[in-house]
Amino acid sequence: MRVIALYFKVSILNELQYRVNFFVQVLQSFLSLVVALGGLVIVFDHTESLNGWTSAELLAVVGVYFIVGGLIGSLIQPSMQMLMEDIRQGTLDFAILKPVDTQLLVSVRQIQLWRLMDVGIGIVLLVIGLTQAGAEITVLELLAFVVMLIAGGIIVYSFWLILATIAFWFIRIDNILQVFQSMYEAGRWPVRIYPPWLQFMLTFLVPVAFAVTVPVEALTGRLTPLSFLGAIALTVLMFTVGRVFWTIGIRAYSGASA
Amino acid sequence: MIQKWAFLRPIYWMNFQVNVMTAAQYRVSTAFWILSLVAEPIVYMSVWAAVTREQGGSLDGLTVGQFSAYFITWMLVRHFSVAPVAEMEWRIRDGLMSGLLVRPVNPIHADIAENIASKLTALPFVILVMIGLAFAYPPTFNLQVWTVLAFIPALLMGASIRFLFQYTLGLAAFWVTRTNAIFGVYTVSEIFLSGRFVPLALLPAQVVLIASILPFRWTLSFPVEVVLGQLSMEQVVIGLGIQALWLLAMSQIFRLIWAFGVRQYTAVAG
Repeated sequence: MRVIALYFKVSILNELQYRVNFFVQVLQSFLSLVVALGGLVIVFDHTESLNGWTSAELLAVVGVYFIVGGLIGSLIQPSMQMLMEDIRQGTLDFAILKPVDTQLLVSVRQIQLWRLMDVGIGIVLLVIGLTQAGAEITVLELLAFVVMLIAGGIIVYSFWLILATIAFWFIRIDNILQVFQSMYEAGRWPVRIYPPWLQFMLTFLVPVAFAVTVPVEALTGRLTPLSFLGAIALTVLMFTVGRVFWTIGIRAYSGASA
Repeated sequence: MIQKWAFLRPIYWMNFQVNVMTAAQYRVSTAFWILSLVAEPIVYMSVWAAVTREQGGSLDGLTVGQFSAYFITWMLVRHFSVAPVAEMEWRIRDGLMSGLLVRPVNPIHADIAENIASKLTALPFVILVMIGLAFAYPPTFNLQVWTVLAFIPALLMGASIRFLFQYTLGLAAFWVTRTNAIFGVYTVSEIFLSGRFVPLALLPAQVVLIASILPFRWTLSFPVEVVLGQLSMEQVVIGLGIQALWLLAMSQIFRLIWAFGVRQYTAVAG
């Protein structure tokens, strides 16, 4: 725990040095907001509802999309990219040598502070969307939402860890980042609009459904107890698989020094 | 002109071969790259299919099958017009450009060769994915011989315009060290104005006018419109003419900015 706190502190101090990055992020967040909202405006210019979702509810989806995207982009992705780069260049040696659990260490080494801005934008969109939809949220629903958000976070983390671990065998997988991002874009819309095979992919291969759609379903009274339990089960499963994968993968690592 | 081409041809050929081999070597990487390109049209397709169904099967006269035909053609055009030139920033910032500048030919030629190579090596996969989309959403094509023939120059010019446009934007790195803001604005404009997210036919007339004045419509939407038979023969000829003008303009703008940029360039010594 102390290690995590320490690494976070160092990363934050590091990020605070580069204030231009802040403005670059402001612009980037603004642009993705334009794309997301513009898309909604054009779609709802032609229809009243999309697969049973109203425009206000879809705004809430976009809100959660931003929250989760911000969390992934600031907390998970930077460390995982650093990990892949380290594997490729053979500099992972330095991390393995340290006396803490290597998986823990490589997972918290780097954060991108300014990406958290998206989380703020997402919360604003979510609140506006839910108010417009006139949703009355019970404490239970809110609780389910938070639990689903955390479960989604753990699933995405495990997914990223598995992907990064693949680098132990395939070395050059820098395109994976693009794959994830383009698949994650699919989360801007409720996964039910996609053809069945794509729904399956977005649920189990790239866990966008659990990261975005399921938490929103919890807030809009669409979540069934079954998918709640399913999400919990998948979280445990993914985390275990990620751990096992990592243990096997790190044995394949041969380093590049000496 | 002919002499110049005789000089350039072996350069193109060598770069082409090297890049085909590189792509064949990093197969996993190439596969992932293609995967990242296919997600986008499938998402858009699904959204518009859902909207169309919600509207009782027809949206402004467009059926799910026609949307499918639109996005299947979109994939092909998009594949040809993807230009991986964002690395210009990194080249200039890290001083790698120095090595390229001492070569006797403009580095754009090597980049064009690379671009052609990567497109041809990935083309079979793209066609596979197009067939996949056709299974998910059966398309209704209404092909005619002349539209298919007109599609070829429309596609090639559209792709060239976009390549030059992006390449020229990348040259901004000669003056500013971070160009992702510029590419961000470009991408957002393109999503709405080039027919990338929504067929231009579904947008208000003023927006379509802006898209037609700027290069955006001519890079993606126009070739798709041609092959779908949405344009009369006269409109197609005019469109091809506008594309040719943009291509000419873009190449001149590129030359100009390149000339100024290179003077601006000071390398970080290595």
